[in-house]
Amino acid sequence: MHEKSRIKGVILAAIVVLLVAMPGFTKEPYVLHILCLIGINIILAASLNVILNIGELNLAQAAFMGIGAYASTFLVMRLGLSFWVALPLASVITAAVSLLIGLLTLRFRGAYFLLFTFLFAELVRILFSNFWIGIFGGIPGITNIPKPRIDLGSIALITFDSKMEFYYLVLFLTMLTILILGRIDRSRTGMIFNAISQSESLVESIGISTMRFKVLGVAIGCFFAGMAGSLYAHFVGIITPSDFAVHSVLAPIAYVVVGGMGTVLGPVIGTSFLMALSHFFLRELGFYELLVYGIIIVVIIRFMPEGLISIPRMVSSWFAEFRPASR
Amino acid sequence: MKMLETRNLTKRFGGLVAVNGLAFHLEQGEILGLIGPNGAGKTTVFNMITGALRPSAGEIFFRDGRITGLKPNRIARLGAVRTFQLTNLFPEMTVLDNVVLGTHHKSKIGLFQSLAATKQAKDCEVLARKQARGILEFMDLADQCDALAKNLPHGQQRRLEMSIALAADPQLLLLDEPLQGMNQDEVRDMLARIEKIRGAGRSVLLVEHNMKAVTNICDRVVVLDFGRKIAEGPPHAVMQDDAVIEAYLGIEA
Amino acid sequence: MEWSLLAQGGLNGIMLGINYALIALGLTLIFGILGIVNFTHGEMYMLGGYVAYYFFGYFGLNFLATLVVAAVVVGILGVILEKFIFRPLTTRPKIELTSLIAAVGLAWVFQMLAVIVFGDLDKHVPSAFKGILRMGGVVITVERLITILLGIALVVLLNLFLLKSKTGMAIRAVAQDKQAAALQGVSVDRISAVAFGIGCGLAATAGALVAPIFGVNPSMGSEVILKAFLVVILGGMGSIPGAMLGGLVLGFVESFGCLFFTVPTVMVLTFIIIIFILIVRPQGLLGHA
Repeated sequence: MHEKSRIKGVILAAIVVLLVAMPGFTKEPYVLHILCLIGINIILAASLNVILNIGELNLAQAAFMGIGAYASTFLVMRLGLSFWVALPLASVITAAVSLLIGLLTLRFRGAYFLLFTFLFAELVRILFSNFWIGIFGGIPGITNIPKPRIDLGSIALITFDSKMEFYYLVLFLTMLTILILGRIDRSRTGMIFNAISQSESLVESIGISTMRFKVLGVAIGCFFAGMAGSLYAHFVGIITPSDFAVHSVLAPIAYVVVGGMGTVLGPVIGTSFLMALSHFFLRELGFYELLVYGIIIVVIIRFMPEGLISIPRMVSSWFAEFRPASR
Repeated sequence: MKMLETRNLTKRFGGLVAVNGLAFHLEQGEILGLIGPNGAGKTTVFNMITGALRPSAGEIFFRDGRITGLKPNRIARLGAVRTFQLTNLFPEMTVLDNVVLGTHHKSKIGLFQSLAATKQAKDCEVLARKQARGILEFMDLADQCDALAKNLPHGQQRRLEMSIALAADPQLLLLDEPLQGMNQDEVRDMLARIEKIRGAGRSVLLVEHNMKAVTNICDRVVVLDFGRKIAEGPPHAVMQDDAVIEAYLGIEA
Repeated sequence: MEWSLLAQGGLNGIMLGINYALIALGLTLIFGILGIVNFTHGEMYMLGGYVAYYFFGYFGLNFLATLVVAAVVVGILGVILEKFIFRPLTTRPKIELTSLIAAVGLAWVFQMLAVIVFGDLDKHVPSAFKGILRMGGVVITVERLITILLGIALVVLLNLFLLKSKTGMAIRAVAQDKQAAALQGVSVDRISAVAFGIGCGLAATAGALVAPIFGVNPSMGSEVILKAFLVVILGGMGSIPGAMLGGLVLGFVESFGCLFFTVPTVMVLTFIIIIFILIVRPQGLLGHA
């Protein structure tokens, strides 16, 4: 067991070193651009996964990302706050909104949370498209969103204008997210999240308020969705309401399901695999991309519900079966 | 001292009256059997006491406090912990973790404490594991600590479920047909354990279909038929009661 | 405000409401039996619309026969989906979550396939019934009137089926208590498949029914599923009368709302009403706690 976790640690460390050194191998802006998008999507997929962990599917995950994106641009462009303040603040605002929705819908058994988040995603799109156009920019959205910068007067000035600087920012925040979510997963709280998805009635019967932990799980998930949104807005520089509409949640669902639901590294593997596939190898897919995602979701859920992350375990169990025979 | 008491407990589903004006009580340290033929309303009563169903009328008291209509988790924290009729455990977790979760409501670990891995949180975790091991030893499951719950045989799963409930440190243990699907040996073993749990100063409410088992272990029984109490008293006396024989045994025979 | 305008709004409201009710009925039926929120339901409605486009508009089949074809074809598709996608999931843990994700993926596949096969443009379906009726100042096309009547007939038929037929009673028994129904000798697997098929067929009939009025396009399903969800929350999950009442309420709110406000405002208002209902009556208008 210890040997196994040491191997895992070495592999992870190697990947981190490789990622840090990545700009040394390629200065190709397209590659760095895609890697940044992959990082942002990993944060989004991981945030969706937190909520899947308590047994709920949040169809408004992209909408919450949108709330983070719009909140962050509002804070930076209207209130003149620094990006470094706006990023955490936008995440907190997103979590606060999700808290209200959680309190309203998680009281009921059944699919209320799911149905409600579906409606909420549509509501958010309508609000951003049709109301307070002076602030939200209507259907064309918001453009010229400024890039973050670190200005320490005479000591240092870092502008995040090039892809490379942004790459390191995204890398840092993605690793931080995974680290925090991994920590939560191993904590008592994570254990209870997990328990809720396995048997809500039993959790309730041993004196734990499932409502409280589900609301907490939703808020944690949406905090990181908001963070992904803020990062996305300042990275791409343009946001429109349709970026965060209901159909935008399909891709992250596919990432999580393909990688492995309910595991910390599943969303990382799934997002990297599918996005690298579609951007580096299937670039001419275009319109068919969403169709492919849909098919992948159905096939994986039906035939390989534990996702790619279960492959090593499956392989080792095959070997375990063969070994006694060969002896 | 009265551990549990119901007054005029009533539950209606649409036009159907499932439980009608039920009044009974359970003394501290007592094993009380709640019996009756299928469809008599036992499960409905059980679900109302444990908070899964809200009564249409009437009151439920637990250790002199009113618990009518409270959420299941509140009732469990007050000290009335239930088990389930169908197997209900955390299948993908280890046996030890299953029981550790049972102890959770007594511990004081917050999210940020456990994330920051403070000394207090670590101490709590160590203590919880120790308690859980103790309970598993009591239930003869200590050698299965690291097994996944889903991989246990059925008899051991039933014992694990009871271990989880015991970990929540109940004053009153509510058992919903714990003998279902068990063979003779397993039934004997389970009854001995229930007796032992009572020996540790806890009260037990036993909802059961299996008459013979109930007569051997219960101090008193309450018999339900069509949502009403038709008899109450020591098992052997109740078994002689004409109404009980007619309602219960009449169907069996 | 003229009364004739209000009457016009009322008639439109009834038509929309019955349409929503038909879709929500299937959704709530499937949820009640299988515990699955059938996300593909909107696509079944869409496929029904295309059945009308081809069989009625293109091949010139009789309109009523077209409705039957839509129900049968899509109903069979529903049974196939239940058997090969959803039922295998029920034997595994977290069935609610996995079936839902599968349904979301499937809905997407159907919609994209529709774009590829049928094209993404709006298609016009000729009207089945010509002429207009005038009553005072109220004008209604015969087509809309017959659509309303057919819709009502379908709702009545479904209710009679559920209340009177043996299969219908078995469906209700399974919805109430699977184990008890199984003990009574009901084959839960068969009933699940039948309910899924009926639900999908109902949605397809609704899609075919309104195809001549609204036209068809691949995204019509994803638009209407949103409304169906609203109806189900309004009426209460799993409640059949709730789905009918919720459908009518939503139909009227939209129809009258549009007389006074813009479409986005109506959507926001509807949403606020839903939140209000969830706070005051969490189980929906007619749902059980």
